[in-house]
Amino acid sequence: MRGLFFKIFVIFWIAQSLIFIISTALIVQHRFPRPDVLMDSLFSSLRNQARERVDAFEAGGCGSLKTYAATHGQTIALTGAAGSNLCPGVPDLAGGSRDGIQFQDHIVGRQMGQQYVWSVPVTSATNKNYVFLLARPNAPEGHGPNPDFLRFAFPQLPVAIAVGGATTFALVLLFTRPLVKLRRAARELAQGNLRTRVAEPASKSRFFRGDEFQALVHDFNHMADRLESLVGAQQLLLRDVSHELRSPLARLNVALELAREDADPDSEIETHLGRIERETERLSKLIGQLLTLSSMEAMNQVDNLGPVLLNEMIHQMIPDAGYEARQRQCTISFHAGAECIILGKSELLYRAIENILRNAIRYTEESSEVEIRLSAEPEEKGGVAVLEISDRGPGIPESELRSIFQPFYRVDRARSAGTGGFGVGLAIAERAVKLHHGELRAYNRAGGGTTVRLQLPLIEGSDNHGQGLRTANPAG
Amino acid sequence: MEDVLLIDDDVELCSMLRDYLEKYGFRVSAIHRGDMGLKAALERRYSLVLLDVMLPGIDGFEILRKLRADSALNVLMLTARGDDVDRIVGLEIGADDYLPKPFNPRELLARMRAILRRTAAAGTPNGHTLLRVDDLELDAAARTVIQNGRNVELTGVEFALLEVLMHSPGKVIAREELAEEILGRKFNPLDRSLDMHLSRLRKKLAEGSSHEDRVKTIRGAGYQLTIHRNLAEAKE
Repeated sequence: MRGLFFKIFVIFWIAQSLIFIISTALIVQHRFPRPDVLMDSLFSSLRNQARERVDAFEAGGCGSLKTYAATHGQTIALTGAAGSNLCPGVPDLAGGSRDGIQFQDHIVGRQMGQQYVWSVPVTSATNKNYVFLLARPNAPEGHGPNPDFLRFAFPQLPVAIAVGGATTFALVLLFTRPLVKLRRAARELAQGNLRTRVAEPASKSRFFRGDEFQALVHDFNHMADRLESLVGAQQLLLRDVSHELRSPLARLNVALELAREDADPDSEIETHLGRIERETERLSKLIGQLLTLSSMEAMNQVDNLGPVLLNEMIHQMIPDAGYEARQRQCTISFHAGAECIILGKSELLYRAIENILRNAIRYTEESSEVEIRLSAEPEEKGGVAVLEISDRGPGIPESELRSIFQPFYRVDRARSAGTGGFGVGLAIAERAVKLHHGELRAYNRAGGGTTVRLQLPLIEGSDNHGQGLRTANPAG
Repeated sequence: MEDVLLIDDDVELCSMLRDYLEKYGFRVSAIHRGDMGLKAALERRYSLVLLDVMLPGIDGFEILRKLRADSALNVLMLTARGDDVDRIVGLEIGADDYLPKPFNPRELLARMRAILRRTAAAGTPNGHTLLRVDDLELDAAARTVIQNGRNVELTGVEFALLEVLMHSPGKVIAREELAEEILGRKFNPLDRSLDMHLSRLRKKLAEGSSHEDRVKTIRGAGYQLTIHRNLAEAKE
């Protein structure tokens, strides 16, 4: 979301700043008059001044002119129309470089050394012609950008850019905040937490209530409601059906046993009854698993957590699983790279790991090896225990690797019919791992087979240094 | 003939179970309501009560709680399969054992026999009936436990557990061994029955003693009865 935030922010800010800069430039250009208008007023003011000074000269001589120049801090001089130096004042002119100054019938300004000299032709009241000279020191000419522009833009433009930045920031927040919240909620929802909702702002102000984001939040929540109720209904149905099947199954079990008591143990009836019993047992198991799954799905968190030593748990599991493995001429090997203690509920974890292990034994090729590897890995948020259970089975198509944790999901229905599983075990395992804030993933091994990787957060301070390999091989 | 009380609202199941159990020498009285079941259990002395959880009237847990208030009657809970909470609550209240429904009747028979065997074994004097460890005194023949002169009321499983532990105080007894001896079945890590029974036993022993914990759990190994003063095991 940083991406969108910065993109919108930068683009808007640049756009706003450009608008300010360009409009300031335009204003500056239009505010000041065109050069000819400027010159007209300058010339008329020069002429007025020149006439006044000439009148003063005629009345009081050079003295009055000098007094005026001193009081106004100006450098002025007066020459006759022929160039006679009547009243020197401009030093350079006194020095004889008077050649350039000739009576002209229009005002001339020119650069002379360090000064800029205006020569103004004047006709006095007595009808004599003079040239009035006004020298000004060279104004430091600004180079580069128009100095007027800078002077005009100085306080306003930075303020405008800052205000523009702040408002853009607020605007972008207004856009991205709800998006960030929505995205987080969508991700939660995708992870199966169907209770996720996006908080609708409590402010009842009309300003916020009506916008499209609020509508989107509202729709999102509506969608989540619907999703939750649908999934809930499905789970409830599964649970209720399983629940209701228990009583007839209990009766079936007893009736079957009574029938076996009465049947002749050597007759064919007995073998049929044995078959019925096996199927009944499978049915009972399936219902048990379904009910376990649905009760776990109703759980949001596990209580009564305790420290669980995974190494010990796996050692407990191996003899039983090894019995199943031996029937398929398979072996189980356990490589423990570390002592992994995690905080959890041992029954749930046991069931999860056992289901994964049994699944591996069920699908591995005959006379192959099922490997269990336990190790500890450091992560940003403390260490994690990593348990990998690998088989040498047919593998799983890449596109279906994530689906195998859904209840009743079978990769190959024809092939797995004889394997004896229901497709609920891995779903139970996944739920248990989720309840422990862990992760469960499957991937295909090089050389055939599947690895299920289980990752659980370690208790802080648990010993996660390698302790050498310990291998148990009970089925070998 | 052992008298067994079956409290379950499934009338048909009750009648079939009665047929089945009678073949194995049990006399079964079936009651289909919770409140009436409790009354029956308190009125007559049954050797075993098979108790369902979901019952009209009052539920199985409530019956068990009321029974346990003043009786060490053997109770086997028929819990709902897939519902771990039921099982744990049942054991916490003090059921001797549990069986998830639907069950295999042979399994039920085995569990009933295991419970009754425990009671019977405790009743027959077999050499040394009086065990003494610290302030604890267990009389196997009279089925009584006395702690600091105070009588401790124990259920059948708890009594059997304490007896095994008191036979070898200070020694760690493996869970597997205890499971086979006490519950009559193989140890299953998913089955928390032993832990439950032991925690109840621990609580009862802690009531009359200043020692913090008489029965210690040794992680990954088993259980141990701790000795505080010098060991005094009397044989008679």
